[in-house]
Amino acid sequence: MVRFAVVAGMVAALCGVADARPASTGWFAEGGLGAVGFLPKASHDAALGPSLDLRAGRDLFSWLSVGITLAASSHEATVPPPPVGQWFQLYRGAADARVRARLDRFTLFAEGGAGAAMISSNVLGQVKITDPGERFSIAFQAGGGVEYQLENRHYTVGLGADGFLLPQFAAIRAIDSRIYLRYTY
Amino acid sequence: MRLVVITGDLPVPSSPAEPGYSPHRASRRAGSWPAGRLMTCGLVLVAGIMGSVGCANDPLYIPAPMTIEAGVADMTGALSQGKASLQLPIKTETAADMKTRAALATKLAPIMVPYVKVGDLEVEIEWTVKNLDMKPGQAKIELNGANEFFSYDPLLVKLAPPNDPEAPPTPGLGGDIPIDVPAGGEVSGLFTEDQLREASIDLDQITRGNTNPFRAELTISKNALMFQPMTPLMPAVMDYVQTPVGPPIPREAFAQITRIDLVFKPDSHMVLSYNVRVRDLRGIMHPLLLAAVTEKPGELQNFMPAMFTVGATAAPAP
Repeated sequence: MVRFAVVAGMVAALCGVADARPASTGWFAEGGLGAVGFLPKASHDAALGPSLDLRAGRDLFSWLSVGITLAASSHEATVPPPPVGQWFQLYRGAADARVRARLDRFTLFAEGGAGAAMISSNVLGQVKITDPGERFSIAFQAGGGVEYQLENRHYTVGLGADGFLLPQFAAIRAIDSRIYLRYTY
Repeated sequence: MRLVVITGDLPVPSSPAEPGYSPHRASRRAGSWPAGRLMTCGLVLVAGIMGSVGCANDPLYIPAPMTIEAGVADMTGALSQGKASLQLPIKTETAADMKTRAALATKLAPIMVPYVKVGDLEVEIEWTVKNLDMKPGQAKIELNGANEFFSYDPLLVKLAPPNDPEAPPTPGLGGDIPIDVPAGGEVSGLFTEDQLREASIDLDQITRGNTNPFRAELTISKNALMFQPMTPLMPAVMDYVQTPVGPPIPREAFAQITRIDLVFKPDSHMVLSYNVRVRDLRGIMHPLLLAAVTEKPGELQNFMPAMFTVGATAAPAP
């Protein structure tokens, strides 16, 4: 019993010194690289492609932040030939909110938002994903991820994944996964 | 494993009284940009690049209204050929464009300046040939077309003297090269932007310049700065020599192909499907593309090119 009490005391003491790593809060900016993959049925007509994600915003509380995101991804159109080997780009912009839970140097988060998307060409028109003259859609997105706080309190690296829905483009759905670096001022 | 980023505002001793003080480090820190500002500038720069790339001349794809099926023997045993024609959906000329064109036409008079010039559009044709037969075959795709002044069909241009059975047929503007298609298989290819630019200039040289179609096709003119109109071709006249007529036509007045004509010549039963890819550098394509023909026909420019025949000289008013 005494031995258990000693061990428990040591564990409690160790936990006591393991404070959460210092982290800045306030205005922040994020830049990330990743990939966007479409979910069926659009996955037959557009291949997985690289993406670039930017996000800027402000922490309202330590657990809640709001921001705006900009993302661009590039995809090969895999529609029935012709055409062959043609690529298109998808640009997205949204306002979003992120809820975070801090676990020492790790942070789990969930996020969601809405905005707009633009497609660079009508190459998906032949499979009826876009209508004639249609270039823009509303966009809804939601997802989550994990962040790691570096020793420097301003920097965080993270891994995130968001699903998004574009109702005007035949309601195509896709997953945007990314690794990013965040700087909080 | 520890991951540490050593930029940013790590505590740097700034006075000689603090341990670890170094005058060099203190002065460099005082003159450096904070990492946060660098991050912001980087994000703004990348966002700007994303925005500008998004507005660069993105291609438009115009699927052919229908496929062309050919290579079936008729009652006489001759194989059928397929023909298709696609008019590019171009918006009506604006008053500003008309004024600019009129000013250029005044400067270049008596040369006529087209509404759609070479360089306004970069056009590419992507095609796929599917062999429906159970044995390998060959197919040819001949490219022809029209600009806003003239249309060109090599069948209507008789360059050979009458009663010369050995004379080669008049060439088209491009293609007409045998393509091997496996049994039951399909082959894809394209007429590139360079080939379409060459075809546009060849068409203008043949029609307004009276250049011999063989010469136009066998010389590379895509970078030509001008061409000299000549007297009309007269194949029936022995020892006839063409002579220059009027001033040279400069590149800024070269007419762009606005209608694409394809002739499909397979030696067995095959289907040709194609689509036209356009980079609209001047912003003159109708955003609805072919849907505009039914939905907004009044917003489309109507071109009425004259059929070119050997002997034609003057261009009609656009």
